[in-house]
Parts: sequence; C-alpha cells; structure tokens
Amino acid sequence: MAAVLRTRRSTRRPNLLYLFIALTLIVGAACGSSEQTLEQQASRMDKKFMCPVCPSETIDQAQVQIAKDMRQIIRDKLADGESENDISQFFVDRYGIQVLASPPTTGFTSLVWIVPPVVLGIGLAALYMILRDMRRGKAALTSRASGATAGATPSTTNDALAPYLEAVDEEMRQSGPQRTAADNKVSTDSATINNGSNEVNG
Amino acid sequence: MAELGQLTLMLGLALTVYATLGSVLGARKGVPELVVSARNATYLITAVAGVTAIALVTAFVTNDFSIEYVYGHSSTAMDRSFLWVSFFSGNEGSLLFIVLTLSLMTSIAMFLSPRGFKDALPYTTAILAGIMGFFFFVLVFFASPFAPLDFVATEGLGINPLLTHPGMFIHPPLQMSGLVGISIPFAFAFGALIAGKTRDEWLDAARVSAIVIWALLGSGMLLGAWWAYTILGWGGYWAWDPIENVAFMPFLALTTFIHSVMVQKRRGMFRMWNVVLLSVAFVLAQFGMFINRGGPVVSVHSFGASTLGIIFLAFMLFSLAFALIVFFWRFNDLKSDRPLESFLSREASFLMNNFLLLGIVGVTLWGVLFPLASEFAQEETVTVSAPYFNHINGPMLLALVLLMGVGPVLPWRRANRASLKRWLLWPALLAITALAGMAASGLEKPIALFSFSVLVFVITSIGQEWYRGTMARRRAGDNFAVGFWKLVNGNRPRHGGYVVHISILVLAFGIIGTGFYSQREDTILNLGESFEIDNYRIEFAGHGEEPRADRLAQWAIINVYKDGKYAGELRPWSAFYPGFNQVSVRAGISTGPIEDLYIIPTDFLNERGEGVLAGGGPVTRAVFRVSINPLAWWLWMAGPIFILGSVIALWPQPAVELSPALNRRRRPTRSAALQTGD
Repeated sequence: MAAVLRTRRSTRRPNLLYLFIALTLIVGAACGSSEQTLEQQASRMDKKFMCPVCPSETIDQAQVQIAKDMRQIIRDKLADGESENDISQFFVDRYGIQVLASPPTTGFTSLVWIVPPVVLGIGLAALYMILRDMRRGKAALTSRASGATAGATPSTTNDALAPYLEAVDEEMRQSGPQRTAADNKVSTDSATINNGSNEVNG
Repeated sequence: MAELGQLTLMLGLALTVYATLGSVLGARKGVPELVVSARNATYLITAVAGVTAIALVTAFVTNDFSIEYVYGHSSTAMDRSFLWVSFFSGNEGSLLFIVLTLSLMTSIAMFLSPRGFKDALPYTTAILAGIMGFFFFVLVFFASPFAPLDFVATEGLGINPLLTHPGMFIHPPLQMSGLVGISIPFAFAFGALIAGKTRDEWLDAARVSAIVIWALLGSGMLLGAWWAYTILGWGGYWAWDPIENVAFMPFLALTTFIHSVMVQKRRGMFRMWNVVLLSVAFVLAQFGMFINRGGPVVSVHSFGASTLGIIFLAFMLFSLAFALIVFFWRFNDLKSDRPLESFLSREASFLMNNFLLLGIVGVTLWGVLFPLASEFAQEETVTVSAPYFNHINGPMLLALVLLMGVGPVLPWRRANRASLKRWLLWPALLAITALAGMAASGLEKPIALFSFSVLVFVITSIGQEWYRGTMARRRAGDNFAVGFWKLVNGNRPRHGGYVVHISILVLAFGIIGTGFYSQREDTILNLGESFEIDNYRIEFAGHGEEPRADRLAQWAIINVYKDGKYAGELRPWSAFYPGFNQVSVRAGISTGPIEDLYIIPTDFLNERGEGVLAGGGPVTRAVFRVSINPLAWWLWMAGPIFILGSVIALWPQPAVELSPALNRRRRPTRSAALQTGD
C-alpha cells in the first residue's frame, strides 16, 4: 500500500499545508464571533488579578474574603456597564500595579513581553547559522571518509541488537535504497573500532 | 534522640569531607586503597543519613516536643499517618530528607556504575560527596532539625492543613529526590571530564540515571498537579507559580538532555552541548532550591521566610563556576566528529527540540526574574503570572508537541522527499480531517481545535510507525501481538520514548480541554435547593459536620442529576483549623473521560447569613463554586502511561550497561563490553 501511495504523492504536500491553514482560518473566523455572557467575561477577568494578600494566587484561585469581594466588585461593575479597562484601573489605583497578573504592555514592563520573542527570534537565526556552518563543515570532512567518523560512535551494535538493526535496515530499504549500503558500512566499522578500543581499555 | 541526631549529622559531615578529599587524592596520587576507602565512606554516609532520619522519625512518633522542629510541625491531635508528611513539611526536615535520598541514590549509582567507568568514578564520587557535604554543613550549622525548643511544650503546633492529603506522601519526596538527583548524571559527566575521559565514557551512566531522575521529577509534578486540583479549591492544577516554575525548568533542561544525548549515542555529535545541558539542569535545580528556601520571590509553596537563601545562592554560584571551569578546561576535547548533513534529518529535529525546550526554560526564567528586575530598575513591584506564561510558553509547547510527530520519523543524517511523504501524509490528512470535523460539529475556540488537530497528527504518526513495524514482523510470520511485542522489545529506548510521547499527548489533551472549555459558577443554595449548570442539576440535600481536636470538618451532601437522571452523591468537604486560622477544602469530584463535575463549598452559612466555621448554629445555606472541567480525567491518565514509558525505556537490554554483578565476576566478553543500550 505504501508503494501505491508513494507514486501518487509527488506534489500533494504543499497543497495539504495550504488546506490546513485555510481551514484553521475558516474555523477561526467562524468561532471568533461568538458572544460572551457577563459571567463568562467576569470569570475570564478573575484570572487577570492577583489576590493582594495571598502569595501568587489570582482572585480566581484564592478563597480568602478579599478575593471573594474583588470577584463581586468585578461582577457589579460589569453589570453597571463599566469596561474592563475601567475595572483594571480601579484595582490598580487601590492595590498598585502588582495586582495585575501580568504587567501592562506599556512602559518599562513592556519588556517582559518584548524580550522573549526577540531573543527567541535571534536564537532561531543563530541556530540556523550554526546548522548551516555544520553543513559546510561536512564538505571539508567528506574527504576523511567514513572510517574517521565512525570511531565517534562507540555504541552502535552488538548481537543483542540484531533484531533492531534488521528493523533499521528494513526502514532504510523502504525510505531510500541508496543509503542501506553506506549505513551498514558505518555500523560494521564502528563495531570493529570499538572492539579494538575495548581491548585497550580492559 | 536529639543528641543522637545531632551527632550523626556531624559524623555525616566528617564522612563527606573524607570521601571528597580521599577520592580526589586517591585518584590523583594513584592510591587505590584510598579510593576504595573513600567509596566505602560514601556508602557509610547513606547509613548515617538513615540513622539520622530514624532519629527524627522516632522523635515525631514519640511526640518529643522538646525538639523545635517536632513542635512546629506535628501535634498529638493530627492524623498520625501524616507524621511522615510532617517529617519533610518544613525546611530542616526536608533538607534531611534531601540528604537521605541523595546519599541513597549516590550509593545505588556507584554500585551500578558501569565497569568501564572505573577510572572516572573517584571524581564522580567526590562531586556527589561534596554536594552531600554541603547539605550536611547546612544541617549542622544553620538548619538542624534537632534544635531544642527553648520552652517546655506539651502540645505541638500541628501540620499545615494543606498538606494533609494522600498526594503529599509521595509528591514532595519525588520532587525533592528528582531535583537533587540531577546531581547524579551531572556528577557522572563531570567526573569523566575531570578524569580526562572526554569521549563517551560517561554517556550510558549519565543517560540512564538522567532518565530515572527525569521520571521521578515528571511523576512528582503530575502528583503535585493532582494535589492542587483536589485540595487548593480553584479547580486548577498548574498556576505558573514561581516554585512550580523553578521545578519545571530543570525538568525541561533534563528533558532536553535525554533527547540530545541520543544524538551523541548514535552519531557522536553534540558532545559539548550535552555537557552544557547537564550543567544547565544542575544549576537550575540549585536555583530552584535557592528560590524555595528564602529566595526573593513569593510563592504558595515556599518554605517561608528563611535566612538560608543566601547560602543556597552561594552554592548555586559555586556550582555554576565549577561547571564552567571544568567545561572550558576540557573544551577542546569535547568537539563533535561529525558534521550535520541536512536540515531535514533527525539530528536537526533534535536540535529544534533542544531549541524549543531551552526556549521555554529561558522564557520561564525571564518571567520568574522579571519582578526582581523591575523592582531593581524602577522600584515598582510587578507580578508576572499565568497570562504571560500561557501566551508565550503555550505556542512553544504546542510546537514541541508537533515536533513529536515529525522528528522521530525523520531518518538520521538526511531525509528525502519520498520518506517525508511516506511518514507524514497520513498524519497530516487525519489532522486536517479532524480539524474539519470538529469545526463542522460546532465546537468553539479555534486555538483549541488547532491544538487538538496537532494531537491527532502526532498520535497518527506514532500509530503509523507502530503499525508499519508490526506489519513488517507479521510478514515475517509473527501474529499481530507477538510482532508488536518484538518491535517494542527490539528497541526499548525508542518505543518507551513513544509511550512517553503518548502520555504527553494525553496530558496535552487534558490541558487543552480544561484550559479552553472549563465553565465555573458561584452559587448560593438553601438546603434542598437546586442549581443547574450545563446538563447537570445539583441539589444541596444535606449537611454534616465532625468536630475534631484540631479542626471542624463540614461537608455538604449533594445529589447530582445528569440529564435529569440521578447520577450519584458528592460530598465536598471543608475544614477550619483554628490553630492555623485556615480553611482547607476537598473538592467533590464526579469524574469521567468526558468531563469532571467539580464542586467546592466556599462558605457554610447559618440562617442569619453568617459564616459557620466552628459552631455558630445549624447550617441552612451554603456557597458553592461549581465547575465543569472537560477532559480533566486525562490529565491523571497521563501519569501511569508516563511511568510505563519510562520503565520500558529503562528496562535493561540483555548484557547492558548497568549489570555490575555480571561484569565484576566475569571477564567481559566482547558483547558485554560493548555496553550498548540502544
């Protein structure tokens, strides 16, 4: 069956990807419009404020009186038609900025939001460049052939692994015939080298 | 008992100093007797720590309130079975527990260490003995659990009521053992580096011990989540609290290591990187200890104000310096021998996995430290809590899950288009079908639907590999079950890894369900009244109470009707502990694979509407928080699967690394000496 599939699959993958993205967007658009009840809005807001007297619990989690009061305030104010920002400001005026479960996206505290994506972006770029360099290194190393590289794998094979190696070979046969020979060679080489080094150590 | 305990603590300190110095000197000057003697001293440390622990247990059992620690953490009124929890419920006792567990793990690790590791073992011993020495030092001079109480007491203060939960018997020990246990793979790697064994000599010992420690940590965190879910009273299980984060970060770093180490094992690459990862995990574990014991960050879990913070900070910085010095000393010997061949290869996908995991570590660390930075820079206290972590770590965790479906099916070295299509077509097709199906059936929340379809992608990818592998064996004549068994048996680390991946999928299933679809309402009910939420009706049918020496326990008797049919009774429970001025609740949970009905009594009221904590008249009304937590059941299912996967991955292959009895008696044969685990 795999063989049949493979023959028909030459250009399908990118299309699948587009289909997936399109579907996600459609689903997103369809779901985004749903209305929130007041209680849903309130319980969502409960998670955004810290309980001022308990260590690192939101008012959603905390069971002390002040948290219950604050939950009630949110519901009362929402019922009065106040906006989320108003309520937020009300609590910040009362308890200071640390009442917010995550810092505002303006001023100094915006750093908390900006730094991670920037650093991760740089990291990703660095990773790409390192990988590219490693690939370049490959060209220089290929002349040293497989014997030099195989010594680095001290543990590749023994008798107990025979079934597994069979499975690997099977995999290799299925995914690309040209690689089977090379890989077998590596395995054998490393086994030989290993035995040598073991005798030295032991 | 106090004198005995104090004495054995000092003996322990002396032994650790001897073991550390003896190992190093013996190895450097070439005195095998000294090395052996130091190793025996290390075994003795375990015995000494055991005796110390027994002394403290005895003090607890005999209610020896002349000891401050016993006075502060137990009482005659508490449930006696929780004395075991009292043992490690405070700073001093938990440090003693850490020494006990580390010494035990050290002895086991040394006993089982592979024969080929002999030359490096003294240095490993020295590192571990040094770490234990630090804990003994703190116990003797700063936090002795045997310090006398300076007045006479006939009754103790009792145990923190939040800790009286079955999960507490296992969660803290696992967590502490896991965090301090990171020392063991670290010591294997760095012992080898110091000894100049900079190739792969340490690899198997470090890998196996890292997986054991990692499994302990992982199960510990799951148990902690379960505890929070049933007792903390908000229906959640993970809050990105600083202490949770500092336990999560070393776990992630260790996860990175046990993935990346496979590349070193199979391809001889990433050698330097793996050493870095172990150091990161080790230092992060120290950082966790610092935060936990008097660090500058507030948390629900911490041991409260303690002056130990600075000592642990110093130890963390020392660990960091040690790791850096050894690393750069051996820098040139750690280079990889092989280049990367392709961006589409298993090596590259491991790198991507490393990047994401460490990215999450970095993001989390940034979130933990930012309040300090803010206080320092603008003298304003801010909170960085769940919304930040969910927004930034959420997508990265999802990407990591997606990678679980791609990475393992990529071949080593280089993938070609054909193999990509062969392995990714069905998962992609099924994921898209699932997405379309869910959208068509009217489920809300696009992010959740997208996440679910990612889970489908990964599970199909794993299932496909198992299916194809099994079919290959079937063609060879085995039946389906035998074929599958042979497939798994043929490469246990790999298939154990898949089982662990499945447990993560199961966990993610629960997280997505509860995270996106939970409903919650607060309601006040008179006795006999009912309340409807979703397709449930709950009836406040009765109230019971039981005064105990240390608490007044009350519970509501709730009849649950689902779709109009009686579906059972729940007894959400709450107790007031006057000694702690604290209320502890136990949720009434009706659980199932689809959803949990989760009820917590927040207040019991008398007819005047006053809260009834301890007496105050018959209860006529009560306030409940009623939640429906979809898929929460799956969170706890992940635990057993996770453990199963770890056990499969660790189950020794015939003639493997950790079989000292065999290796010692026999001259190693060729296959035994190869020490292959994979």
